[in-house]
Amino acid sequence: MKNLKLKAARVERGLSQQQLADWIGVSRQTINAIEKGDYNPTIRLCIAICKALGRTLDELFWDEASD
Amino acid sequence: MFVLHNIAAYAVPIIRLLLFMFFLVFAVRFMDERRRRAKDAFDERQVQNRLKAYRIGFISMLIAAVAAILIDRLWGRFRFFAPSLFLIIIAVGVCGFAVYAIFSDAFVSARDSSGRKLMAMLLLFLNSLLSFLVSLVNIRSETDEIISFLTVLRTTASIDLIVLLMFTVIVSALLIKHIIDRREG
Repeated sequence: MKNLKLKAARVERGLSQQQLADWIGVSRQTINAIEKGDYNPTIRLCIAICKALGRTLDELFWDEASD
Repeated sequence: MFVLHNIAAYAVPIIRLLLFMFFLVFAVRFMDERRRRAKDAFDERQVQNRLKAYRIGFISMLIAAVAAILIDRLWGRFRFFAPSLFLIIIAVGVCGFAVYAIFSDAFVSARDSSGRKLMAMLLLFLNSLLSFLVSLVNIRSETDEIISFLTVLRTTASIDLIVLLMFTVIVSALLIKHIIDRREG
């Protein structure tokens, strides 16, 4: 399932996939895979992304549809 | 005097052993440090994909080894230069690993650029191409026969040929992936 919330938060911050990837020390393809829903990141990477985008885990990774 | 002579006789091998142990510890430490740094260079998704790539490489090697045994049984002894046979099995494994890692974005680390890796592999490819050409020239100087593919397989030039083919596969895969990535932006 696509992570549109992550993409929206990144675009809102004015960051490209490459810039966000460089910020947290992963490859651009990893950010792309997370946004496309092809890869489930570990909690450690989720926290790093949240810190970089200034959001909480709930805001970026919680799926309301599954509640 | 006898005791001194005995000490001298034992001292040299003991010093050699100590030196060997020192270099062994140094080599293990160096390799461990390199492995740790390489692991840190790849992100978590890449590490997972590289593990799958290693598995594919290993399975490819096993399949190549079984295929070699079957071909040997079915068509008699190989016409290959013997060490080349082992190299073919290793090359198949390396190619299996590299192709999977390249297309799952796990060949180039997060801190490295794909263009730089491609250039490095291209240099290795050119080096292996030159080695193969030199081997062909050497064969030609030793015999007046026209160099056929079977002649190459029977000589040490087959080693250069296998290395050349291996780098051709890796460079081609890197080039295709580079083009795909550029199109995707």
